[in-house]
Amino acid sequence: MLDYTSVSEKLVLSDRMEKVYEDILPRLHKWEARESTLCAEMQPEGRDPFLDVFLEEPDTPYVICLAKAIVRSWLVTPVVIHPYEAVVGITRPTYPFLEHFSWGIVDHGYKADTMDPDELRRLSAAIGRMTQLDEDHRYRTAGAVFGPVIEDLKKEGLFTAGDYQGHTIPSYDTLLDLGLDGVLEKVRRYKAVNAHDAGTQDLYEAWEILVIGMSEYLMQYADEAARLAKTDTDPEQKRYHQQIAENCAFVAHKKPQTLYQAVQLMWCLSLWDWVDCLGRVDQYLYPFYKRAGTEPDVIDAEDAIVSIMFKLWENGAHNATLSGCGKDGGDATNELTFLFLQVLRRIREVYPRMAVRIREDADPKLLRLIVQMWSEGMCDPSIVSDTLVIPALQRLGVTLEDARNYATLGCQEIEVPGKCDLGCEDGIFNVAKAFEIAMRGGKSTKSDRQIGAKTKTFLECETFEEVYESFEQQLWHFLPIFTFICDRGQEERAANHAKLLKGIFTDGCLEKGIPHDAGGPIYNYGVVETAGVPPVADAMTAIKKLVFEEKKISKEQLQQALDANFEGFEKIRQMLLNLAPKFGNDDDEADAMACRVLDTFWDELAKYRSVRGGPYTGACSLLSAGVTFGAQMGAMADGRFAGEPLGNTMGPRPGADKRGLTAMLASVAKLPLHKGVGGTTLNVLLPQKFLADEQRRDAVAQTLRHYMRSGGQLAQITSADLEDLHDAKRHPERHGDLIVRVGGFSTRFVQLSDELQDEIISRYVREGL
Amino acid sequence: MTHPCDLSTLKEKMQGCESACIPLFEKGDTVGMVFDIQRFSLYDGPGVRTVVFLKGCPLRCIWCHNREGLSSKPQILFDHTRCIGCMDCVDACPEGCHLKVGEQHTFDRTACTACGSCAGQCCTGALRLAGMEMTPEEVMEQVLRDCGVYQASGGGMTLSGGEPFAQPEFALRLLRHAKEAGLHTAVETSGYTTADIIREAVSCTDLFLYDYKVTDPERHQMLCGVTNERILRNLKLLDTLGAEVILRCPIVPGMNDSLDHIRGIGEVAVAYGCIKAVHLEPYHRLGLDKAARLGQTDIFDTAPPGKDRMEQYRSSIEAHCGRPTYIDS
Repeated sequence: MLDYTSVSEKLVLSDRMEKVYEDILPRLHKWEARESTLCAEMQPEGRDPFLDVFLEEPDTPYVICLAKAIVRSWLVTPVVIHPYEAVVGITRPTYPFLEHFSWGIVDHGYKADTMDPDELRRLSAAIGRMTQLDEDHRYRTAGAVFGPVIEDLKKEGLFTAGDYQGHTIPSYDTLLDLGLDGVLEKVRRYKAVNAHDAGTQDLYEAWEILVIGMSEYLMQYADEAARLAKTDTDPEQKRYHQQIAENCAFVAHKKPQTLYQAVQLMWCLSLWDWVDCLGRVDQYLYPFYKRAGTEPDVIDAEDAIVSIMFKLWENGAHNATLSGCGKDGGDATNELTFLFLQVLRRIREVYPRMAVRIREDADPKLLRLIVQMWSEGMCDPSIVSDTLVIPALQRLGVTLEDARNYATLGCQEIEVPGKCDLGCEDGIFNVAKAFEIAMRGGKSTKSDRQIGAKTKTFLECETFEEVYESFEQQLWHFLPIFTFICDRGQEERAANHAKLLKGIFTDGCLEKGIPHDAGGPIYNYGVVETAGVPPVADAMTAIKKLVFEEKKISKEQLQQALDANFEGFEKIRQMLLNLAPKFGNDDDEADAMACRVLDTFWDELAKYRSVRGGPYTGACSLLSAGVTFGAQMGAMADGRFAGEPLGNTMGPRPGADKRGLTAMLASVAKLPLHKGVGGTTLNVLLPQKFLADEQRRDAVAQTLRHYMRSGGQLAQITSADLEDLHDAKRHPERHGDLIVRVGGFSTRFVQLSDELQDEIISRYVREGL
Repeated sequence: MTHPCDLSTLKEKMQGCESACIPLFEKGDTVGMVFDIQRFSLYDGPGVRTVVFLKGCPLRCIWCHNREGLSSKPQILFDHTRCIGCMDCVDACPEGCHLKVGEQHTFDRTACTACGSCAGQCCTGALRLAGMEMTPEEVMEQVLRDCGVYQASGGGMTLSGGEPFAQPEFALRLLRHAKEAGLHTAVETSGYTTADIIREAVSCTDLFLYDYKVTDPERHQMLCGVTNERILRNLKLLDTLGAEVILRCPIVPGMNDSLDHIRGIGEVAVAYGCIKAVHLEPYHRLGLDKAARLGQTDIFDTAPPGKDRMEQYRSSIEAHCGRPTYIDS
């Protein structure tokens, strides 16, 4: 393929890469758990090498044991070089919950009840080495401060807090810029300056162990490739193995010079980083790619990129970001931007997930290729707006230069690569539940106990403003409790050195001698996923209009209808559904209410600073939380039945938007999305049929471009046709390749639960699809 | 083509760009009868468009799929599948058209004046009023909400119906307003109107989506209620005036899919240079539901033409006239 921008041509793999491709395919289906953010099968039979170090060295400080355990787990993993591949390194059995999250091992992959008793003893001993901070601890600590109400709140479905914080992007720039020896030298330089106490001394020592371990790991591959080359009878394989041996030996220590070296070194960090998020791949690899144009390499540039993409694909990498601007603010789209998209298009897969940054002056060829990929049934790439994100990051205190370098990660969070401890979410807050509690004057929805602020119940309110005030007061009441528990989660991770490896590749940690999750990085803002805003807004609009303004429904009638889950009150439900405007139709009244609700919550949230020192910012890409929170909700005044999903992005409730895509996008663009720069995404349904001709593809591209520059933040596309979804429910075996979007994930439809499948199908209710 | 609205202020004002555009329009006392405004339309002209449907049509094509567009007066649409039998309409109707018979709701249209009282009370949306009096300013307020998207995609406003030129003053005012706002304008028309109106329209219409339904004049009279002489005259006039035209040809099996007519389409397209493309529109049955909602039974119904057949027509017309010919989906 000569022109990577082409929409008519597809990438033709080289003979060598075609063979690698064929070799990968049968391996893919081995790991059903790829979707559960595990990079390999769970714990193998027998002894867990990860635990050995903790038991062998009971007197060695925890952080050093952790570093040694990580290194050992990699060095005991078999060295496997697959036929014909150029970039090498396979994943190991994974221990992410200890290594990356540092909370309770049991029940998070390690099954106490089925484990060998001997192994369980070893495990307990290892856990004993950790600072015991788990969910119980978080809620116990909160209980000591806020009282027994905490126990009620745990069951209420109002929030989850402090649980999960995984992804961040390490600095691949630093790695490629310095090489492993350069990185080691940097660790030692700062150790000499900063290691004044035992704790800091240990931390630097742990970091040294890791970098040395990575070098050793690459040398293992160099040695194995050299051994294979000696015995190879096939001259082609012999040559490949010689090249691999040379390549790995070089980057085991030295700064990479060629693109082939760069992608091999990059893959080593990616593996050791839990095949997490890659950041701006088309930017940091570009200098190497350009050099490849003038200085011939042992493999050609396209094969180098295909090789790294294959590794990311096979091992289920999370997220890579393309395009956007350079340091000077100019367009940084380059040949690699297109090449990465073309490889993804060729393998037609959900890994690695990709997001393309859309500038005001986005290259029309780039837009055309993106829409073409959607029209071929892919959900990737998603798109994210430079226009909104860059100034929004600056509001959080990020410098302009850093803001221009942002990337997406995880399930569409946003951060500055190599400078943040954004992680995934610090917590998820269900605004709809807060409203439900407010309707009850602060009483629990599960019991009669007072769990929130004592406010007027809905029946006691004389005006709509009193209803709203009661809602606000509940938010003000719950946010200190919620953020307190989120803070405890941050403390746990810090205490147990979560993401130890990332500290080396995150600016600020080495320089300050502070761990990654303890405030070491330059930016430490936290992220709160926000559930339930559109249904709350629609419920408020309906109450305001139908109860207080037009008095078509009395307060008592509405309360009874909600209590009865509309059973016997279908007429009231129809009135709520049809006689009050809904968010998502470019209706100013309904949209203003959604803005007000979101402003109320995010403005209040922004007043809180976490223990790490950064502010909390909002986000919305909820995966399945929209379903699980919804299941715990009663009926709502927007006409929603009890238990129905709350939606997993910031878009209107499925089916509520009836005036077409532009009206829906206009509504969402009115929201204060600049206050939720943690990553606030939107589902957009563009069935393949709809994208069938070029004129329509262009119109869609331009519509989304307009959304991106007029206040939109992120958009994720589902392009499956409705008939196929229905058929896939009946015959999952026929639709293994049907890809849809949930929260920030693109995933295979047939792997989803029934509830999530139904939720996706319900999005198609929108007129005209 | 620059847009008079300051797009950067749109979001802050949260009210579309009417705040910037409306003062440009001269106010008048014209009102029109509109039965729908559809945003994000990708089928009726270039780019992303908003289609404004005007009520009233001088033709009576037997296959008409927009039957609420025929009458120039408002009408009540009743979708019985959505009715939950709450009977609020029974009290609301001043003419006693809505009746409760046992537990069943019935709707007798004979005395209905389409006052809309029932639709205003209907909580399910089963009863809906097709046809609302709107001023051009009110219509433009809706249309201009997507001005940013029009600008990005080269789209704009399309008038449809009914027959837009059945409300000539209103239609022309909308087109002028849209042009003043920098929008691309299109009119979907049967061409059954006066030469004066066509002349006026050319000055403010970028594209005519011009129907060509039946070649034989007598058959045209029989199937569409009027002959096609005036329609052809106006097409010639558009050609003389240098307008841009896309010919739209409904293909209805057994009605107008004779070889003579297929040849006729090609000949017309050859005759007039103003015709840039030909769009073939296979008959579809989506109009049957709407007819039922209007209380109309005994409606023309046939199977849509097959794909192969349509492709035959398309290629033969394209070969004949040399203009790009498409099948609309």
